[in-house]
Amino acid sequence: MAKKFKLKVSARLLRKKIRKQAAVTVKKCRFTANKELQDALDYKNTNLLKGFITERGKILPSRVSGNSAYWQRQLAKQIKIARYMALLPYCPVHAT
Amino acid sequence: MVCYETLMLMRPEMSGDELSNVERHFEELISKAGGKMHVVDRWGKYQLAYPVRKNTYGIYCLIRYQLPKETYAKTLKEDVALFFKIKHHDDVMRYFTKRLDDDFKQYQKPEPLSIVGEKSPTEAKKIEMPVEAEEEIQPKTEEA
Repeated sequence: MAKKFKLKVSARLLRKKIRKQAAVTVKKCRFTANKELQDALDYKNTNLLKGFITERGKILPSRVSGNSAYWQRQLAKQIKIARYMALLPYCPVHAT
Repeated sequence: MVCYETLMLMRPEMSGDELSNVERHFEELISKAGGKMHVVDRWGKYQLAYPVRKNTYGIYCLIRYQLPKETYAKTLKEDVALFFKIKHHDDVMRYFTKRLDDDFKQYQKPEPLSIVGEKSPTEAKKIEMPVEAEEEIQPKTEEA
């Protein structure tokens, strides 16, 4: 019968795993319990919307921003309206 | 009565007279349809996030109004659409109409638009337009 080799996980790798688990914080949706923020979510409030787009103008995914599915959809809708009205860019460089 | 809000983006070369003309025509259109104007707020000339019709700047104007329940759909689909697409097609580059909820809040101008493209948020570069003697339309508060 072939011997089964059990691979040892090094202490270094174990420490790395524990460090990663400790660093992960559960992100909360900023809109869910905040009525003021919900009212402020509008295509005209570019200062608020800018916090949810990358440097290149892309919408941040909800796993990064922590938004719930409902508010992520509402946010995306307002960002797209702002883009149409030239309040936010579609891409980083627009050909003139 | 059903309340709406329209944000217009107009050419940057327009003078105060021409802007007032557009606003006045819109007001006439709304009053002809049996509606009432609430707010007319001219934001001014701002730098756009991308060129629109080869213009890097544009003048924003926001209008809030209400229309009667019986005819609001027809007014929006026909009269307002004709107004923007045919009558003022050259002046108004973009427009967006949004229906307001029944419990909408009183209009507040949003925080200064920051210059798009810069890394640090700064105050908007508002280009001051030549002041002309004209009557200012005061924001009207909705009566309960």
